[in-house]
Amino acid sequence: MLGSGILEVAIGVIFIYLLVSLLCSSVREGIESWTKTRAAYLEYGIRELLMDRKGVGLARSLFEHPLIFGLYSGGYAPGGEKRPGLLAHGNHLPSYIPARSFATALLDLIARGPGSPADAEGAAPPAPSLAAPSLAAPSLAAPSLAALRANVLRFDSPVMQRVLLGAIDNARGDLDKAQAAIEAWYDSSMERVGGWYKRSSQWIILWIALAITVGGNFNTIRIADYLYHNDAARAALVERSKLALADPDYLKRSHEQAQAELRDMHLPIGWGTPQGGMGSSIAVALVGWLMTAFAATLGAPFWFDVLRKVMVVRGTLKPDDDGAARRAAAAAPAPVAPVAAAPLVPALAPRSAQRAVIDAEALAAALALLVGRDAQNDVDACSALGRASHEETPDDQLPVATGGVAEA
Amino acid sequence: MNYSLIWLPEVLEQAGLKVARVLGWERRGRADAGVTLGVLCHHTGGSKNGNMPSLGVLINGRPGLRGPLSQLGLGRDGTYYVIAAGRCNHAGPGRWNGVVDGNGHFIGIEAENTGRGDDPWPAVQMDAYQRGVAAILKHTRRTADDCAGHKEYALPTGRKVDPSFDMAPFRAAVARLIQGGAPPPELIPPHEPAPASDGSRRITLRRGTQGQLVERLQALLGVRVDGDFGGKTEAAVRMLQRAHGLVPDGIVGPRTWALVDTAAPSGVERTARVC
Repeated sequence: MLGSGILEVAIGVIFIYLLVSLLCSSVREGIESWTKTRAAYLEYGIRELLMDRKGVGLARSLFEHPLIFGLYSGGYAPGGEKRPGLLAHGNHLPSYIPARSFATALLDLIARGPGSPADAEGAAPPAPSLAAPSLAAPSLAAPSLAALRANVLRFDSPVMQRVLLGAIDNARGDLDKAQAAIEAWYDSSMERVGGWYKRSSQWIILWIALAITVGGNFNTIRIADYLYHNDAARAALVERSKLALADPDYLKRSHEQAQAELRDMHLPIGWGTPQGGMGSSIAVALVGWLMTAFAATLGAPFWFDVLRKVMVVRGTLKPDDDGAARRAAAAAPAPVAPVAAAPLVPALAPRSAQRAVIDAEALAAALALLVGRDAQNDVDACSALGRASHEETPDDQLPVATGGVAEA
Repeated sequence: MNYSLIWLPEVLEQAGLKVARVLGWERRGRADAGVTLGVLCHHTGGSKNGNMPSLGVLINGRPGLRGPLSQLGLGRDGTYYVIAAGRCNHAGPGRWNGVVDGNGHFIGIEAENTGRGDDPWPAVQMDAYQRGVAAILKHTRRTADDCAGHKEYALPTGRKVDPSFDMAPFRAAVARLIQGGAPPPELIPPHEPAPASDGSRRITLRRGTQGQLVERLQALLGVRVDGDFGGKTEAAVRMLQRAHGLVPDGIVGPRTWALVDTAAPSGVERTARVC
C-alpha cells in the first residue's frame, strides 16, 4: 500500500533525526558545561537590568552580596560592555540566580543605602570578609519600607529610582509585596536573557549538527532510499520507534546510548559501509547532509512529537496491526468497539473504493501534520477557547433568534 | 457561492428549536464541507458569563487558529447559533467509525459550557443539544452511532476532554429522538393566558418587535425607552431571567411578564413610590 510504505520511510527518517538531535544536544551540553555561556548572558542581563553597564556599581554590589556570592566560586569580574558572543566564557559566575535571592539581595543593598562603599563609582570593592554569610542575617531583618524609600531617592540612576519606587509604593507598606514586585521585574528580564541564550544556542547547534552529520555521514536521501527498498529494515525501524515512543524517559538518553542505537540499526550511515546507489554523488550527499543537519537543529523533543503524530496517522491507515488503533477502539464505549475495528462502509460505495478514499485522506492528514498546524485536519478549538476571554461576546451583541414561540 | 450545509438552520427550526443566524453564515467556512458522516459534540470551555460568550471566537478564531471553529454554537438557553455552512476547524486529528477527517465530514457543535464542575448543564440546553443532533442525523440519514464526543474522536486518546457529559446516555436519547415518539419541545405561548384586570392580554415580546408594549417593558426594565426591542433590551431581559431562575432566552412570555411586573428594578421602585 502506497500510503503506508511512504509513511514508514518517513517514520524511519524521523527516528534518525530524533537520534541525531539527541547526539547534537548532548554535545551542546558538553560545550556549555565547559564555556558556561549562560552565566555570561546572565551577568550581562543583570548589568543591563540594574543600569550598571560597566559593572562597577549596583551590579558589582549585587554579585558580591553574600546571598549571591555563595552561588559561585572566585571573584566577580564584569564582562565586556557588548552582549556576550556565541561561546563567551562565563568564568565561574552562576548560570541561574533565583528570583527570590535576587530580590532579597537587592532590597538588602537598598536598605544599606547607596553610601556603602561599592555603590560609589570607582570606589574600592568591599573586603572579601564582608561577604561572609553570617553577616547577612542582621541586615536582612525587615527594613521598613519608609527607610527603603528614602534610600532609593539617593540612587543616582533615575530609571532604577522609578522601578524601585514603583515597587515600594504599590506595596502599600507590605514588604513581601515589594519583594514580589521586584521578583516579577527580574523574572521578565530573565526571559529576555533566556531568549538570547536560546538564539545563540541555535547557532552553535547548527554547527554541531553539520559536523556530526558529515562526520557520521547521516545522509537523509540515502537513508530514505535504502529504507524505501528494504522492507525488513523499514519494519525493524518502525518497531524501534514504537519502543521509543513507549519509553517516557527516551529523551533523557545519553550520548552513548543514542550512538549505540544508531550503530545497531545497520543503516547506510557512517563511512565504513560501501558507498553506492542513489545518494552517492557528492551533490546529492551535500543536500542529504544539509537536510539532516537542519532537521537536527529542531531538537529531539520536536522530532519525538512528530514521530508520535505520524504513528497515530499510521494507526489510522492500518487499523488491524497497530497499537494506537487498538487503544482507540478499547477506549471507545462498548457498543462502538466492533464498528471502530472495521473501516467505514457506507451503503452507496463498494468497500474497496471507500478504503482508498480513507487512505488518501489519511495521507493528506499525515502531510498536514508534517507541514504545519493550519493545514487541514490537525486543528481544533475547544477547551482552549477560554483563554481568549478578552474576546467574549456580550449578550447584546448576539444575533437575532427565531423559533421557540408558538404561532398566535 | 453558498456552501453546502445551507440546510442547517431550517432543519433545526423544523425540530422546534430556537435558531439565530450569524451574519454571513452561508458563505463562511475554510472551504466547502464534505459529505456529512456524523456530528461531533464539543463544549467551548469559555466564560461563565452570558448566553454564548464564545461566539466571537468561534466565528473569527483565535491567535494561531483561524475560524470558523464550528458550524453551530449552542447557547445556554438552547439557541443554536448558525456560524458557518462550510468546513470548520473543530475536530483535529482523531478517528470515529473509520472517519479520520473530522473537519471534512463531521458537523461540529460547540455548546457553551466552562467544562468545569462549576457550570452545570441547563436542562433546556441539554434538551436542545439532543434534539439538534437528532435532527441533523435524521436529515443526513445517519444513526445515533454517528454522533461522537470530541473526547471520543480525538487521538491520541485523552488529547481532548470535551464534552464534559457522558456520551452513552446522550446517544441513547438521540436514538429515541430519531425514532420519533418524543413530543416536540414546549413552546412559549403567544400571549398571556388570562386577561388582566383592564381586560388586555399582553402578547409575547422578543427581539425585533416594536410598539407601545415594548416601551412599557423598557420602562419596567429601566433601559432606554425607544419602543424598539433591540439587543440591549434583550440583554436586560436575559439578566433578569437569569437572576430569577427562568430560561435566559430574552423572550418576554407570560412567565417573564409576571417576573418583570414584580421584580424588575424600576418596577420595584415604582411600587414603593405608590405605597
